[in-house]
Amino acid sequence: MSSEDNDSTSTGPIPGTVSMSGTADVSNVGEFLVAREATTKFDSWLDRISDFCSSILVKETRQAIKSRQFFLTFMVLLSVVIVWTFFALSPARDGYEVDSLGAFMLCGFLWILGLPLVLIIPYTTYRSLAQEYEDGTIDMVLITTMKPYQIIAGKLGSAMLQVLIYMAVLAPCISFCYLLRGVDISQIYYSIGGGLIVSFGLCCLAIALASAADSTRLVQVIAVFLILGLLFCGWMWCLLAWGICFAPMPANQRPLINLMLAGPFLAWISTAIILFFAASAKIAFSSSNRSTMIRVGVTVQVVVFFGWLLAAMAAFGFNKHAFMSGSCFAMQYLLLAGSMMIACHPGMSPRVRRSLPTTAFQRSLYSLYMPGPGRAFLFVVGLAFGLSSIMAIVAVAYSLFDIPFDVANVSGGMNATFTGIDAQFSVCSIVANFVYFLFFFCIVFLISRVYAWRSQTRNPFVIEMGICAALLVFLATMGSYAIAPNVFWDSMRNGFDISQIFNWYRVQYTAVDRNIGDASIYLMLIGVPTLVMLFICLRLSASELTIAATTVPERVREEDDELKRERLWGHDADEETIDEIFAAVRPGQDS
Amino acid sequence: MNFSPSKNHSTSRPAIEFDQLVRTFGKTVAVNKVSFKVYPGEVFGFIGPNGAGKTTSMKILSTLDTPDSGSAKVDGFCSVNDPERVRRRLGYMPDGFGAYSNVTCEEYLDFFARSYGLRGKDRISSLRNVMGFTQLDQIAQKPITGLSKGMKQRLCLGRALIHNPKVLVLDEPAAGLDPRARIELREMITALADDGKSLLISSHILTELAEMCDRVAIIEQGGLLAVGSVEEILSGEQHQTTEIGSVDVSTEAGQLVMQVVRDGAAVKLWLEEKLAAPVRLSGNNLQFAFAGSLEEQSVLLRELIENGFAVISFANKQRSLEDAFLHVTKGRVQ
Repeated sequence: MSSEDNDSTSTGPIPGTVSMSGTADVSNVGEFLVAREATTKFDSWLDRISDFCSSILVKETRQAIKSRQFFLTFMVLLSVVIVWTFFALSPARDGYEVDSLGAFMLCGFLWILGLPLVLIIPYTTYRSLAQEYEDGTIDMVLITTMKPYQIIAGKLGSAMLQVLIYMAVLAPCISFCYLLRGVDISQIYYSIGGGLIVSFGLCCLAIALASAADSTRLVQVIAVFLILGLLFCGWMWCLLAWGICFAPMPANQRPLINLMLAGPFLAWISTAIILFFAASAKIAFSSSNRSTMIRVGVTVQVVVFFGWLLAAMAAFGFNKHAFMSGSCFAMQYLLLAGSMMIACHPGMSPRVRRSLPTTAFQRSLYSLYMPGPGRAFLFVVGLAFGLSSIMAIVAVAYSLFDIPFDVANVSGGMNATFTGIDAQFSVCSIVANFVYFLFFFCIVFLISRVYAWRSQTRNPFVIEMGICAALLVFLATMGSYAIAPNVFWDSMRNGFDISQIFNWYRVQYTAVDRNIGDASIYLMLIGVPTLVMLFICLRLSASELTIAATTVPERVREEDDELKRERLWGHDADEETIDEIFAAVRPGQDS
Repeated sequence: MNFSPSKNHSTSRPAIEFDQLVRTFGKTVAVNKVSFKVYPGEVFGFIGPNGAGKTTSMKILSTLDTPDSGSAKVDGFCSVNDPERVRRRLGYMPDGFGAYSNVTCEEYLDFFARSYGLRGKDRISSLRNVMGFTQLDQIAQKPITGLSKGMKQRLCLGRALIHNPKVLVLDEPAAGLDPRARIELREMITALADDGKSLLISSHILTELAEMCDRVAIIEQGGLLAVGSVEEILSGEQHQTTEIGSVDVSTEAGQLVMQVVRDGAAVKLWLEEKLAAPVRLSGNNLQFAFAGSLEEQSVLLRELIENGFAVISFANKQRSLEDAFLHVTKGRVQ
């Protein structure tokens, strides 16, 4: 027990019992351990190890291992694996060439593994938190000294432990596939890594959804959608497994394949981490800082995405359509994320304001990561601007200085049909994207401010409204592209008119790529109101930048001093202040 | 409005402090400017009808909710701005028991011990102490889903005690318990108070509270009606709030109870004429209000005897906490 914990406990023992304080009499704890009938050496060793684990992880693991669901899943998995092994090996006879069976068997095992990894474990993770809400036990967990992220991490840890257990069951079978030949070791790595990553992401999604389900009805509604989603993911997992087992992976194209796989991998992992922080934020106490970690996650995700995009485009020789689509997608993503971020409460609790940096410069930088809709607006606009600028600089540098890049070596000769970009194209494309992003983001922000002003509620712009606003914008802009690609492409080939002014990608494509004058005019038509709205939004947001740090309450300082004294001098320190103690220890010395 | 404690605690820091606490749900004011202090070692009863705002206040104190305005503090720390420090000092026992499946009593307490950061020997020591104190040793390996109500309440109390907090907040701890379990619970609460812990207890079983509590607060419709020691509440001399419906019980006549062997109806008539006030006759017992000193009471008794009435007992009726509660509250719901 830490000194801080000791301080929090009262001094006297409960009458009729031994002392309950943290540093109490523990002389016969060993006897107690021995006396416990069920406690073996292994148990006590395990008990000591578990001290280093999250309490939630320990509890959930105990529950899971004793649960009927785990037993049934385990037995079903074993049975199906045995059946599949016999079935897959049934064609084999004496002298049968078994080379083709490895991939076939591995694919079957991966499909079987998909049942717990993609369906059962994510759903039980969802239930484990949702049930805490239903039973009211979540309150008891929340008032402990555990941090919200520790609670969520404990639940995820328990889920991942189950994943590892199920994988361990199939490990001999998967090894057996390698011995049968027909698959190489990289395919096995891809399948195991893929399973872990897919399951981790789905568990993060499930727990984020569970944290949002704070009523019984909502729990049921979300459960239905989650099951449907997981079934779809199960189907996708089957396709992925099929791809891993049967798609050719020539050694010379492996760098390019790895590069292309890195995109969805990074997107999946970073989204899972953002969902993790979102779930932690959802269960956190209302006065805590629930924004900063999510914003850090979004920043990392966007930076990683842009980095990957540049690397991928470099590998393909800066293909202009890929460049345009990638930057457009990034701005769309920022619009969606930003619309959710501006849903937070404008007020900042004294607790958060206490943690602000002291200097004005640090505070102005840090404030973009602090809660508040205005700060969220500035954060997202700043992020979009910064990343667009970097992207433009890289593209211009590539086109101006003709940076050599051994495309053929990376892409395995797949770049033959790609055309490079020029400086004018890249800058125009990025500016067009940024203008459209600003246009729609300002609209969403202004709507949120009007709603907050009209409603005067504690939660001025709920996150669901942010998502709806962003989806509406998406449908209004990219809808034709996303929903009816045939119509879109027909329209692109056959003509362009004013009715398509809000179609973000369409205008950009026409204006930038085809140099059609009308589209450029439309772009300017968007740009002028954007500037006006941006000015208004900046005025509204600027007020949130001037946040003053609050002083630490006297009682908190008092306790912190006590703790410092205890750390320095142990529990018998007298009432002298730290400065007095140092003055006494070092008489005559200048500080 | 602030209430002074009956004991002299002026030098010590309050263990619990509510200051002008307000919490609304839509148009409903669940807690309305509630202010009082609980000092170390004090057992404080929180009385009120259903929906009065007791649980809401307790939840705010336990960092499960936030107030619209005002503050709730534990050992000087604000429940909103320093929830971690409050949680280290506070054990909360809610009125409902949320049970985990596939978990034994020992595992349940072990989980919460770990959750409060107890590790190694501290954790085992704490587990042993709490299980001994709450007498859960015998059922340590039993699954909690099959426990009786009394055992569940013990387990709940054990959970609240596992990190040895300075302050305990118990929401309806005696609800649904049999008489023996209630007595045992009362003994445990008394022992905890003797240990220096501060307890805030809400209950509907007012006789229990009257025996356990140093002070009580009566709350209705979110507002405090009275705060004081049990004696002060019973004598009607407690501090009162004017926030909601001032009730001045101090000027009311004392309640007398008299038993006569015969002629109950005649005595009733005589008394009603004499006092010009209604007299309630139940069997041979008569109950009436009499606004007079002890000397005047003795004069009344002498007159009764001189008139030939066979009086066998004549005494002040002891007001119970229930009487005071019924008198102070109006049964309003929101």
